[in-house]
Amino acid sequence: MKNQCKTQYFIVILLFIAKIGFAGESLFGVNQKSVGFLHLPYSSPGLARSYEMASTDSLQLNFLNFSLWTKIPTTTYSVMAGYKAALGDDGIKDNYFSALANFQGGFLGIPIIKEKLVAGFGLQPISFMDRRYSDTLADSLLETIYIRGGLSRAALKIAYSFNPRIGLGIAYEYTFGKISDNYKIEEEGVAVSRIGLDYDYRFYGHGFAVSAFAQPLKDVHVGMLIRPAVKTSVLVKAFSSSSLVNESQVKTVTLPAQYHFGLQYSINRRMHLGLDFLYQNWLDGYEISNQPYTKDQDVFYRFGLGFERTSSERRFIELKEQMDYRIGLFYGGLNQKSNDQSVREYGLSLGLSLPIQRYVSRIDISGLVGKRGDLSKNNYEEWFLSVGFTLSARELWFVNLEE
Amino acid sequence: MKQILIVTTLFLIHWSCQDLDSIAPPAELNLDERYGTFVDTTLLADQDTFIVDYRSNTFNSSKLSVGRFHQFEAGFLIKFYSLPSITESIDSVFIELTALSTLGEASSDLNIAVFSADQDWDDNANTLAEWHNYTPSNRLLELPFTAEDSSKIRFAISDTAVFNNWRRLGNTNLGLFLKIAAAEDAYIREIASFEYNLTTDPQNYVPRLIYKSFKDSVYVSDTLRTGKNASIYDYNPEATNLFDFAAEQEELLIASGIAARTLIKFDGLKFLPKNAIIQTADLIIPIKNEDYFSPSSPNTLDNRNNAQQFYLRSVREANDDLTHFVIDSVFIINPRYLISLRDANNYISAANKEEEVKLGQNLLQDYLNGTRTIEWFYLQYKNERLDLSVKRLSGLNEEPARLNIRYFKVEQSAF
Repeated sequence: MKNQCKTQYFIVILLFIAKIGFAGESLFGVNQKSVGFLHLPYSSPGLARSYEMASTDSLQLNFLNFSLWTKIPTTTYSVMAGYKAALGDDGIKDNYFSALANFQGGFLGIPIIKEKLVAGFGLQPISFMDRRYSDTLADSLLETIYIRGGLSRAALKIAYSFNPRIGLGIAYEYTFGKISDNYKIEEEGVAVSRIGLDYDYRFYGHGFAVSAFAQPLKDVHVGMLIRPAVKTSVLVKAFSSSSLVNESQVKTVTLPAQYHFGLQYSINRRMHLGLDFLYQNWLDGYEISNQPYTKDQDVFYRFGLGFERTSSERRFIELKEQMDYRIGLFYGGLNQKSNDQSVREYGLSLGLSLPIQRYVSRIDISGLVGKRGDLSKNNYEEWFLSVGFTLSARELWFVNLEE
Repeated sequence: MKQILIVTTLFLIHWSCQDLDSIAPPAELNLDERYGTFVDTTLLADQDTFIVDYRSNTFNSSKLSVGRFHQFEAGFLIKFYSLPSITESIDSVFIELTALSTLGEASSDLNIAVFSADQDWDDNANTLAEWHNYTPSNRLLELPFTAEDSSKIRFAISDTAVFNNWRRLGNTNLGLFLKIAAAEDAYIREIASFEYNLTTDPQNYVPRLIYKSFKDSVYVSDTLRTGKNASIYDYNPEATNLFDFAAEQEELLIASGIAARTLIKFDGLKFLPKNAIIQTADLIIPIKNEDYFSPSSPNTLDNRNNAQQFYLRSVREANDDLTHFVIDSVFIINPRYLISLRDANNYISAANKEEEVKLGQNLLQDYLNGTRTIEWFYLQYKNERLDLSVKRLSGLNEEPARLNIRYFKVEQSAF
């Protein structure tokens, strides 16, 4: 036992000593005037099965379609963290390894009227970027740029179910975030000649979203979400040695509308098939200072198709019968082009749900593997992997147990 | 299970918190256009002039000068420590000086007269009129300083009565004054002062006075070191004053000893884009290496024993005709504005890349930011109290000074 502990500590120390090249989340998503690589707004169960829009789940809050929150019987929270890694190739120097671990969303839903009215709030990232570039210009000028930050969205949500087959949700959303550019330029090998131009772009804007679900047939659920374009103000603040450049400016950036649709078909009580289609037209809908900005923009879309086998509702069963199993396939296009060509991604998703306390709390684990881009068209391609963890739990809040 | 989770979590946190490797930017990032462009530009001087200060302060100089060269005359006051009050009668006195170099060719010995100063003085004596063209009445001796360079100059002063009065109590020690004995031109001998520090063993160079006194039937020898010294520089041209000549020719010059400073104006600074971030700048001032008296020869007044370093200052206030101007003194508290130039053969220019950065990123950037508005710059010898030197510079008519500026013009932000 003592030797086993020593071995574990040794492994931990080795991991801490090891220095592995690292940068951001993806080689893509850093084009000019980019708000970052788009974060997929799924929970771990959604990622694992590649669909979530029409998924009914009485324990986990649906990250995509909050109109389904009326299905939760008691106060519920779901929090997700994840790890993403990508191994990129530019055809010249391969093995660009990128990785990050971060918070990927969390929501709290509180039933006001059981199975009728739920209020909630939460926070979820929209985009993320974290990458450092360097380049040598003419006259041996070395420029480096470090771009990092991203956008997030805080939301207050209300979901109402007219009857068990139809529900509607509406959300007020506050989009916010900061993207920072650290630009340095110096004569190569002459650090004293360095000049810096740093920018902070602080985004803030109001928006709303509407979602709905319906159960047109006994075994079929459909869900949809519409989020109209979100117009954000951007406070541009520079940090440089020029007073004029440092004067703050406020500009506007409009994020395009989002349209999500999903379908779930229940084969039986434990097995479900589903699909999602997400759509956001960055090519026509992305505006900067009220002018469409189309350069290197593209239509974002994502098809997901998946299967889920949920746990048995019987008591006193083995652990494997208490777990949910998920698998899915996805295919889509990124919102930004590379080498003036659309970037496609596809892959396989897997996941399972581990009960911590049956019917009360659980951890959903998801894993994605896939490929993004095509070296022959996009300058880059990368294999990516992501692992997500969503913790969901129930609490008895505002419930009169004597009733 | 718990241990696996802990190890995995630590691993992920560690992996996710490392520094990012830089990679080449994709074409879509358009780094070249993301913010702006680099611009190299040259501004030519629009106005220039120089001013002369015949009474500059020579305190704290590490060299003393004596002699006469092209009507520039140098002498020096030197005061040794006073004798102890109990000192017996002085029997003999030797002065020991260390010759360093010469301005002008040392073709023969230099005849120097040694005087006992007849009034009190301080080390700023060169700023006061009474010490110029000064000849005290008490001439102690006249002696030749050898023409050989880098040698000890040792001489005895037989009139010991002066030194017998140098006791600490009740008597007056006014020091000595050394100047060239004859009025004809020769050269200027440069000697280590008591502040000499240009070597690892300065104590072997500083002036000293060695005296012997007779006490209890034996001779006692002791040494007095220097308490203060000051060079006195005069310029008494018999014909054309070269400063006037330079002004007539619309040339520039800078000088030390007789201090002359050059002022150069660059109106073009007004027209640099205000949205520029200056990276480096260099002030290039062409040197006119011609002798004032024999134009086909190099400038003999350009003292190559001088370190040939210069300070560049900005002018904080000035009226149109420069009859009034104020030199900016922020460099005293902020070394980022202390800008050094050097003689780089044919040009005076920034001493190194760091000085180019200071000139560009600090001094010139202030003009773009509106915190400086007077486009005059002021150039002087870094140590203009050290020795005599006159450096001849081209004016606007020949080859104007120029400012080479490299800046990044910020045209837009990423959003």
